[in-house]
Amino acid sequence: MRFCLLLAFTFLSIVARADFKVPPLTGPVVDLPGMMSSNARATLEQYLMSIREQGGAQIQVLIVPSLDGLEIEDASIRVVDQWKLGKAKEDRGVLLMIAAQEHKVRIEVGRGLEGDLPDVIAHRIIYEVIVPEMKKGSPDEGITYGVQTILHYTDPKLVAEKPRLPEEHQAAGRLRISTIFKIIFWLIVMIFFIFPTNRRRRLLGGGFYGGGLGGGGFGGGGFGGGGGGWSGGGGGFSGGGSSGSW
Amino acid sequence: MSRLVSLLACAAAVIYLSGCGVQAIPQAENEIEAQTAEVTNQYKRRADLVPQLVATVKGYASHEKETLEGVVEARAKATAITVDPSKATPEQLAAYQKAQGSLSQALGRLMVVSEKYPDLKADANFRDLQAQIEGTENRITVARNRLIASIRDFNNLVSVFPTSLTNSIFFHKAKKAQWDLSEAEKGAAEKAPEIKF
Repeated sequence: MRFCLLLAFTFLSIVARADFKVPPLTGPVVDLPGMMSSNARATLEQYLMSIREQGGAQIQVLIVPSLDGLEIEDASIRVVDQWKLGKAKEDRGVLLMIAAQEHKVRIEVGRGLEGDLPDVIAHRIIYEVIVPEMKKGSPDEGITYGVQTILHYTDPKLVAEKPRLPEEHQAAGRLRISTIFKIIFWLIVMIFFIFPTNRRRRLLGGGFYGGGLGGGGFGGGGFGGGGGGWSGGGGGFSGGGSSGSW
Repeated sequence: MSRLVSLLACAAAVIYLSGCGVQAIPQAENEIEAQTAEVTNQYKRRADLVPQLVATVKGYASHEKETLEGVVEARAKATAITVDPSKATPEQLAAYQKAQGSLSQALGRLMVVSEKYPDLKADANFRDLQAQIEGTENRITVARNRLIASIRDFNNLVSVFPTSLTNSIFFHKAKKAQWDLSEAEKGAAEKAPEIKF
């Protein structure tokens, strides 16, 4: 009996988990079922980009058609683990996630914002701002007001001001030193263990210094984050926030 | 010539070791410690919220004495056991998990009971506390999942080739027991849920 249950649960969980896929991060508002009007979405995207360009928090809206049997908390933590909203170390990212079919809302708060936007506030934003509008059937207002209220807590200084010109661009990534070491290591292994002894002698005696390592070319490895695009910056989440439904 | 060879061998050894777990194994162990600390931290956060919750519920539902006392008792037991993440033995961890599991159950019963009191549910203080407890429960889940993943990573390092070789030469570290549900939680999961209308 226990075994059967276990088997059933394993199977169920595989089925349930296989379906929900984290969508690609294409912009500040990812609206898969097309819940928002294109006007409202474009305005909100502009707004969120300008906030981030001024050094504010990275607020992300995600609307999915369905959770495919997953709890919204499980789905949202998976999304933020992949998207990594907010800069690394600062961890100032927020995900406002909405599941159309299940009528569920969640605000997932980045580690760096748990003080500015505690669970209680997130809970209130959901039930006092977002849910009433969703119940009325006006998701444009619900989501836009929700985001504005979130920003009121995360970046109170930026909300009143008009957007400034973009200032910062993401720095280019570092060259991966560890990969270079690994390649050199395998080259050495090849020379000492894989090549037969007399060929190794020839290699070491003759061409080793001349052409051995010269032409390899390790330049240009590993650049992170394209310029100008919208992407996560390595922000961490630990499950803070609140969920609700309408 | 032989000097060059030995120099190269030394360099090769250094590079080999850096790629084969000499760093990764202790790092993975530290990661487990950090994640354990995060789990205990979140459990503590929950325990800190409980007295306020009990006080609020008492104001509206004072005759649910049994349930309320159950929560207070479970909290007292849970806070009595503390673990030091860097020195915890499997037995200590099991006792800790058990105590936290019974607090989870007691809190669950309290939440079910509170459904019967519309005034309590409408109380702003209670709603805020409920949101905080829910948030903390979710953080506990996330922290536990991450701890499980970090234990898995460590176990992979000490038991899967080639890092297992490094482990057997330098560290002799044993695989760590996976963080498991407490017995009470397991029992609750296996029992069919009771539905009353």
